Amino acid sequence: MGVVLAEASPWTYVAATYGAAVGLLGGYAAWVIAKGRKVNRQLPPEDRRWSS
Amino acid sequence: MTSPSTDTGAGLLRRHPDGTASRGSRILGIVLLVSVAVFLYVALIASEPDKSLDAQGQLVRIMYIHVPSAIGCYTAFFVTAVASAMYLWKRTTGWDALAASSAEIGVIFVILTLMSGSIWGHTTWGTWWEWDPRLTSTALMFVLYVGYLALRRAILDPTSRAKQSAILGIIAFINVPIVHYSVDWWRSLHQTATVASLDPQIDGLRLFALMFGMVVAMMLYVWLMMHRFRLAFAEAALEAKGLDLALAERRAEARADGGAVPPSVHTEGAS
Repeated sequence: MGVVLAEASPWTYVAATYGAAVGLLGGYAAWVIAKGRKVNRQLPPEDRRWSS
Repeated sequence: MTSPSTDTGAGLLRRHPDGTASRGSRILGIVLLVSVAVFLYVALIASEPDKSLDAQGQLVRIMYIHVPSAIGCYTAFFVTAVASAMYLWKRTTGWDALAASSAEIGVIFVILTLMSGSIWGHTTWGTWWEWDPRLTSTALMFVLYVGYLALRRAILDPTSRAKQSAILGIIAFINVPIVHYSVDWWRSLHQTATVASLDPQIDGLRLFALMFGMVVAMMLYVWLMMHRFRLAFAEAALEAKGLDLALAERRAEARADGGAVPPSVHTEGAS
């Protein structure tokens, strides 16, 4: 592992950083959207303040 | 077929009837997607690698993620501190939900800051981690806000939870200026601010990529906050409804124990 990383080009590290950013932020955004729908489904329509 | 109580719009602005989106968040989301595409093009393709004396080469591109994510977590924790203070003053669910939502998004930004910094440090300093003042205080900031989120999960009573986490939300913010100024106050391996004056150390498209990255991070923060805050508010409403149902059940049980005819308590959808 260490040898592989030592020989990696700078672009490998750049790609890892941008991949982590897209994965982390995209994954969190998807989780928030999905959980929002799940929680809202359990509320009666009159309590869904943000849906109107 | 649409819900009679909701105008779900059309095309890209169409909203899910159960979702946390609004017309405003949809528009911001579209602007954000376009901005992210422009940012990725400038940061990864259009901008030149660093060829200065302390050249970072292609690795300078990591800074376009690292610095904006750090700014994002500073902003998020500042909002948490302000909303916490407002909760202690006003005692309303909205301020508590705002503080909690911002802290959670701040933790996501801190994780990204630490990850990108560690990747950059491995290639530039030759180590994934160094107990340097900036890195150590950032790690402490991460632990403090993870603790804040853990505290919120540990306390069941909503009022007590909101009050105690508001106090922690204010105390934890003391560390944020320490993180920011640690590179000036102590001898640090971490470099000082790249764009702290009118004479920044970078220019051209590299400066644009860094500044535009900050704008995108702020837009992303606002968009995430819109959705996370609405989710927190819905969770609070659901929790209050659950408490109401539990109280109704307890009253019914008490009346039944006292010999009264138990009223019918409907618990469908309470879980």
